[in-house]
Amino acid sequence: MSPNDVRGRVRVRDLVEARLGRRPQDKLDAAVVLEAWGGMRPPHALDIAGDAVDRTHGSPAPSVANPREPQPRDKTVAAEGLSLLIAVVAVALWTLPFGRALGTDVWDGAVRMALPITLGCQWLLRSRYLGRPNGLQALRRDWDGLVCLLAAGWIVAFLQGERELVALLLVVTWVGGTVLVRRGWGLVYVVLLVIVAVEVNLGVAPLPTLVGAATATLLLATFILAVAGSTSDAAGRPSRAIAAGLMGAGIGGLLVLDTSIGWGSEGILPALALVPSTAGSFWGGYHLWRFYDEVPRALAGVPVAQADRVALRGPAIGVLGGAFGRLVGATVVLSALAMLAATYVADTPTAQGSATRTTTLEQTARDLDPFGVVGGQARLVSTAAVDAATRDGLAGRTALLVGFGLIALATLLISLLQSLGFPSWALFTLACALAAEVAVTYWDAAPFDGTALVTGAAVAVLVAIPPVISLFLRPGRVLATILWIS
Amino acid sequence: MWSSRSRNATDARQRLRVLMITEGTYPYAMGGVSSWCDYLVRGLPEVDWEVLPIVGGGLGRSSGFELPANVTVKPPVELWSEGLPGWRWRRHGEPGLRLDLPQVLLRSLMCWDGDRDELTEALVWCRRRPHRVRHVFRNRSGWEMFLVGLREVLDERTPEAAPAPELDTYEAATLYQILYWIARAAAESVPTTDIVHVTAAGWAGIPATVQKALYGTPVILTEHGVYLRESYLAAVRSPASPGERFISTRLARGLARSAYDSADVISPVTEANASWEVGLGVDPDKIHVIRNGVDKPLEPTQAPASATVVAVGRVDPLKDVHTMLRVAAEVISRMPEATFRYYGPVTEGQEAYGRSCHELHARLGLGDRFQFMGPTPDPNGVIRASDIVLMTSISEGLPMALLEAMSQARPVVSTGVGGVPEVVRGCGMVAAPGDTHALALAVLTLLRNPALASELGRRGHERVQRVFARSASLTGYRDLFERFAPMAEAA
Repeated sequence: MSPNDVRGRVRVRDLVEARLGRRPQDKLDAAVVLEAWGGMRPPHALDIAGDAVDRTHGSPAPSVANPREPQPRDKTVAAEGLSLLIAVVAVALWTLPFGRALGTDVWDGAVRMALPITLGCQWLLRSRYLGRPNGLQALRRDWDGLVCLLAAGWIVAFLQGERELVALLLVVTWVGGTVLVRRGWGLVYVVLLVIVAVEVNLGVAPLPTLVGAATATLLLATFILAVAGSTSDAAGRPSRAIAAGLMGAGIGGLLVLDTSIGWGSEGILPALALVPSTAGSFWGGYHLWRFYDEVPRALAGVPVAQADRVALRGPAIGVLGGAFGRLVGATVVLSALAMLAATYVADTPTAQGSATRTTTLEQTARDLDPFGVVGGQARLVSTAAVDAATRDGLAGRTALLVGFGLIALATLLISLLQSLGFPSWALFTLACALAAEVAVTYWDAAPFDGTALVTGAAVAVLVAIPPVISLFLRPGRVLATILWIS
Repeated sequence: MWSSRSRNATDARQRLRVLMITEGTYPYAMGGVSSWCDYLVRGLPEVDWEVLPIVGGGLGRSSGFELPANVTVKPPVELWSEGLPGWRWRRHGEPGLRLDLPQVLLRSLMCWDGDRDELTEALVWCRRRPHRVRHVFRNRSGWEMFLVGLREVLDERTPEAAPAPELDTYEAATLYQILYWIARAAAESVPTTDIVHVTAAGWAGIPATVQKALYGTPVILTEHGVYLRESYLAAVRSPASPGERFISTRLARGLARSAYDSADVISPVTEANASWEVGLGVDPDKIHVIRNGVDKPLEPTQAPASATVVAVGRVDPLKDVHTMLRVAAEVISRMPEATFRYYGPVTEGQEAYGRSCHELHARLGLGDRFQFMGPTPDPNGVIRASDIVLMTSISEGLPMALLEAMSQARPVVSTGVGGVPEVVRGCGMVAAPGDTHALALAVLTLLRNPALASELGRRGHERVQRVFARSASLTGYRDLFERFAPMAEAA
C-alpha cells in the first residue's frame, strides 16, 4: 500500500466520521455519506467506502436504547373516575324510593338484570370504540344500528313487564352515561343522576323520572355523536369487543348472582358498598397502565440475559405491586371508614329502631332540609346501618365490602389479561368464579350473607393471579412476547 | 403482445392481471411514488391492476386518488395493527408450532451474508400457517431461540462491517417485534395474479417473495429511490442508539437483498439507482432502467419575473428543507425582494422534522419571504407562477417535481443526487448536497439573469419532451409485461 493510498484512506475515514459524528457501522453507512454529502457518484462511493470502516474487531460497545417518551395520560380519566364515584353514590340514593314505588322485588330484579348488561355493554363499547383515539367518531358510524337495537329491546322489555322495562331504562342511562363521560361531559351526567336522586327522594314519581333520565342521556349521547365529526379510523376488532363484552357481563354477574344480597330489599347498602372498591379499583387501574411505559423504559440498557432472569423486584412486578397496593389500600381504608360510620349511626338510638323509625328520621330530615341533600345523606347512612343491623350485622357488612373489594381486584386482573392478549384465560377465570358463586348461592349452610359473593370473587382472584405473576416475573420476556406481540 | 390476452380486451378472463404492492404510498398518500403508480395504472388500461398497500396499522384509510375502473384496491396489509391473521384447522399430521421461526428470520435477514433460501422458506411457512405466527412469537421457546440467534448475529465478523453493538433488552425486544411483523406480512393472503409488480425493495417485497416461491409468479421491482440507501440515510440523521441503527439498517439490507433476489427484473427509474443496485450485488443483466415520464407539455409560458422560487415536495429529512431555508436566507440577504414558497405536506411520522423546519424558519427570520404553503392540488399551476424551481434533497430517484418544472419551462436549481444530474443536464444548475452557498449562488444567478433562466427553461421544455415522454415510460413497462406474460402463463 502506497503512502498516497494510506493518506486517501485516512481522508475518507475523516470525512465520513466528521459527517456522522461517529464511526460508520459498515461500508454502506460510509457510502451514503460519501454520496449524499461528499458529492461522489455511487460506484465510486461504494468502492472506497470500505476504507472508512474500522476493521479492528474489538469487543462490541454496549448500546442503550432511547425509549420513546411516555404517552401523556388522557386528562379526562381523572374526571371519569370522579364521575363514576359520584354516579355510584347518586344511584345508591335511588334505591329506597324506587323500592317503595315499584316494589322491592321489581327494583331488585331490575338491578340484577341491568348491572351485567350495563357492564357488558360498557366493556364492549370501550373495546370497540371508546378506548380509541377517535372512538366517538367511530361509534357514530354504528350508532343508528345500536339505536335500532335499543328500540327492539324496548319493545321486548315493554312486553315482558315492569322489571324488564326498568332494567332497560337503567341500562340506557348508565351506558349512555359512558358516552357522556368519554366526551368529557361527566359533570353533566353526574348532575343528571343527582337530579333524579333528589327528585325521587322528594317524592316525584320514580318511573317517569327514570324515563326522563334515560331519554335525556340517550339524546345527549346522540347529540355528542352527531357533532363528533367523522373518521376513517377503524373500530376495534369485533371478536375482541365481544370477548370484552362477555368479560364485563361476567363481572356484572359476579356482583348480582348472590341472592343473599338484596339490591332492593336492603336499602342502599349494596350500592353504597361499591364506593370503596370503585375508588380503589380506579386508583389501582390508573397506576397499572403505566406498565406499558415503565417496563420498556426500565429495560433500556439492561442486558437481555439479566432481564430474563426471575426478578421479584423487576419493573413489571413493581408496577403490578403498586397497582395492587393502591387498590387494596384504598378499598380497605374506605371500607373501614364506611364500617365506622355505619357502626356509629347504628349505635345511635334513632338508627336502632324499626323501619318506621327510619321513615320518621327521613321525614325529619326532609323537614329540616327541603332540598334533600343532607337528608339524603342521613338516610343513606342510617339505612345502611338499619339494614346491616337487622340482618347479619357486622359479618354481612364485612362480607359485602370484602366481596366487592375482591371483585375490584379480579376486575383489574381480568382487564390486564384481556389487554395482554389472554382473553381465553380471562373468560375461564370468570367462568370458574361464576360457577363457584352459583354453587355457594344454592348452598344452604352458607355461614353469612354474601358468602357466595366473596367465594366467587376470591376464586376469580385465585385463578387469575398465577398466570399474571408468572408472566411478570420475567420482564424481558414479557416485554418481547406479550406486551409487544399482543 | 402477451399472447391472446390483449387481443380481446373485452374478455376479462384474458386480461393480464398484475398485483402492484405498494408501501405507505398509493393509493392513500400523495407524492412522487403515488403519482407514478397512478400514471402507470391509468396509462396501461389493458391491464387489470390489483393494488395491495402495505401500511402502518391502527388507522382507517381512504383513497387519495380517484381510481380508474381497471384498478381494485385490496384490503391493506396493516403492520402494527391489532388485526389477526387468518385461522384454519390444523391438518392431520401437520407440524405444530415452528419455534425456530424468529431465529431463522433473524439469521437470514440480519447476518451480512444471510441465507436467502432459508429466509424464503421461513416466509412461505408463515403464509401456509398464518394462524401459527402469533403463537410462535408469543411462545417462550420462540423468544429463547431468538436470543440464541441474536448471539450469532452479534458475534458475526465481516470485513465490510464493524463489530455489531451489544443490544439491550429494549432493542432486542424491538427487533423481535419487527421480525413478528415481517412474518405477519408474509402470512397475509395475497391474490394470485399473472405478475407481481413491487414498488419498493423493502416490506413490499415480502409478499412478492412468497408469491414467487409458491406459484412461480414473475416479479418486477421498480425502485424510485434506493430503499436501502434511504434507510441508511434515515439512520445517519436519526438520534437513535447504535443498536436501533444497527437493527433498522441491517433489516433494510436483509429485506432489500430478498426483494432483489426474488425479482426477475429490476427497473430503477434512473441510472444512478442502477449503480447502487449493482453495487449492492444485483446482477447487471437483471436491471432494466425505465425512466419516469410526464405528459406532453403545453406551450411554455412566460415566467412572472417576480423573483419567486418554488419547491414542491414533502417536508421530509430526505428533502433537506433545512438547507433550503438556509439557501433562502442567503438569497434574501442579497436580494430582499425574492420570495420562496414550499408546497407539500409534512411526511407522516416526520412531524418533529416539520416542527424543526418552522423553528429554523423563525430563527433565520425569514418571515413571509419563505412560506410553507402545504399540499397543492395543482403542482403545474404553482410552478407556472414561479421563476425558478429549487430542490435541495439529499436523496432522489428521478424526481417528478423536476420533470414538471421542465415541462413548464422553468429552470431548475438542485442538488446533484440520484437521477437529478441525468434529468437536469443542460437545463438547470446542480450543486453538491448541503452546499448552501453554491445553491444560493445558483438561485441568485438565475434570478438576476432572466435571459439565462428563460433559456434554461426552454431547453428543459425541449428535453422533457425528447427524453422523458410519458408514452416512452409506459411503453417500457408494457414491454416488460409482455416479456413476462408467457412466464406467468407457464407458472
